[in-house]
Amino acid sequence: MSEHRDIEEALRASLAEHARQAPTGAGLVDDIVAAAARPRPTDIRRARQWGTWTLPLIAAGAVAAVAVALVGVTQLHHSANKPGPPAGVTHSVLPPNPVTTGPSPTSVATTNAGPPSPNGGKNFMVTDVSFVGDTHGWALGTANCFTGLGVCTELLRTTDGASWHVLTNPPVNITQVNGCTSRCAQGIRFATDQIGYAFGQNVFFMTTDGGAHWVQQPGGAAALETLDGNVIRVSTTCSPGCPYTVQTAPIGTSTWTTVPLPGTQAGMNSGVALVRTGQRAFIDVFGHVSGGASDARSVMYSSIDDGASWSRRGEPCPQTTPSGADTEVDSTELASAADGSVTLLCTPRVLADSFTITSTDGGQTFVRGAGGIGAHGGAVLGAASASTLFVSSDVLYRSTDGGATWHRVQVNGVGPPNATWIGFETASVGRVIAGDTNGRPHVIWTTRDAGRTWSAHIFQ
Amino acid sequence: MQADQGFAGFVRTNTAALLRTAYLLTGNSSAAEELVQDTLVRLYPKWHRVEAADVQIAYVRRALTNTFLNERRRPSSRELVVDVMPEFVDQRDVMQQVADRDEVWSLLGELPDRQRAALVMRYFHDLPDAEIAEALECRVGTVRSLISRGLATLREHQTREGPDDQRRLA
Repeated sequence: MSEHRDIEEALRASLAEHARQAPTGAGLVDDIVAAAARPRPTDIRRARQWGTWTLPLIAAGAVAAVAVALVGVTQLHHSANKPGPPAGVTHSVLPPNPVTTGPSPTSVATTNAGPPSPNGGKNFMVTDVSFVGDTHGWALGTANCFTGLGVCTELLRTTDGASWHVLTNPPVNITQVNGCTSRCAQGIRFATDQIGYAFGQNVFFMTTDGGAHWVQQPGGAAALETLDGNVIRVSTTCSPGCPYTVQTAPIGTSTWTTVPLPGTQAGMNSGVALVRTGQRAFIDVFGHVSGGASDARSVMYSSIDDGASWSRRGEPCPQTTPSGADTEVDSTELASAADGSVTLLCTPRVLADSFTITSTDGGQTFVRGAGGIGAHGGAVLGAASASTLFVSSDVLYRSTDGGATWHRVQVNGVGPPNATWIGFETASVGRVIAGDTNGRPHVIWTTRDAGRTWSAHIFQ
Repeated sequence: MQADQGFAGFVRTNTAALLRTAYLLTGNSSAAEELVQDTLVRLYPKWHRVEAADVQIAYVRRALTNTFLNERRRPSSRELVVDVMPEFVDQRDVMQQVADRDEVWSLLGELPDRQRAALVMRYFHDLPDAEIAEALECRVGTVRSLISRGLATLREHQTREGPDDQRRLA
């Protein structure tokens, strides 16, 4: 018996000692994230451009708490400029949506009529945001998923850009969170301060009162943008593998018109992106790259009439690496800018630098950015203009010469890390959803000078 | 995107811990990194399952253990890879306890994979039989048997080598 205890003690000590000799994983983390993110056959690519900005973004003093942070990367509590207790103290945890049951396609989802909870956003992790003005926006995400009630969708609204309120009973759950099985959404867009949409591949809700009440409509949307009084949604009945359908509707209605995409969508698709600028709209249907399959080139479609008709542009990315080697190169991200330009991130299938291409003529011709972004770098793409571009990798990178050269965005030595979304409302105002020091997407970065300076709003 | 965020955050937070487990299972730094990467990349498409788990790290650790066992079942993976070449030394190390631990470590690498995995989960992670059984996808009785046989093998080797045996694994 004692021998057993001896060997147990020796074994325990040996394991503890040798565990300390284990590799630290330095450098491995980014490799894992990149390796996992690279082949994403089921990923739904969301639109990368906030197409709906009904108000000019001019409020210089808005987002007061954020403005304070312009002196550096200062962690701002969302209620920093408001008297009262910390956010977490007053934050209401709302009744969750059931994840196992969902309404019928035409059923009505309603909220309770209680007042919005101020100071929302404690531990909030941002999935998507939509603004209809410099300071008036909504954020869809989750909070306290594993320490709270388990189902944890939150929908926040701000009207001053600084304090966020929890809207009661969000109509959707968040895709791939807590085993979401119904009403799973990943996007939110507002056309006005009243009319907005929450959507996922198989779910679609509309509100006409700023998010207080939601009405479900049939179908879903893998991507949606609203601009010029109409809304375009791209949907599919399965992903990957099914073709995408484009529909348009006047905002605030359920009258959808199906618009055909020219040509045949061949083979498997792994996702789609939709961006809009002016009357132009662009769709990129991404190829399916899992399993190392060749010919996973994407197909881009363009419209110059708010989505009423579309032209097929094929794969715009040149099929050579930055060093000139012939290889398959796939467009993997799409962004448009207020100047009407559209930019794509081109990613070689071989281990070579990604690069950007930009069109200023509606996608007819593209200019290649000479600068490499790094092998398989550039998780997300944003564009303030044809010349001022952004890609995220370990941190945010900015180019002011159309992708010829890239520089790390840093404020006092720190920049937006682990960005999961980049969107520019104008040529100067843009926002980034990024991770905090733990990689959790708690932070919304804002720039009002085309990315020269940034401020951070941290939900904590 | 939510999956991306949750995944990236999890990886950043837990990779070091998973590497320790993987290192104890594989006995080799490169193999440990490969095991962790393989496990997480394989889990990524169904990351919602991880997010739904009561204890995410436990879920991933189970997957890691299964990946380890499954990979080692392949004929091409029979090779035992170790960081340090086992070699004989002429006399006992002055630091006897350290030597003992090294010997246990070396002997651990010679155990069948499932025994080794069971011992790591019990004596490093202090997991109860039921959780080990869940991870190894076997019955609790089997876990007890694996641990018992593993300990017996270690004890037998130590006894056979004997305190006077000059040939010790460094």
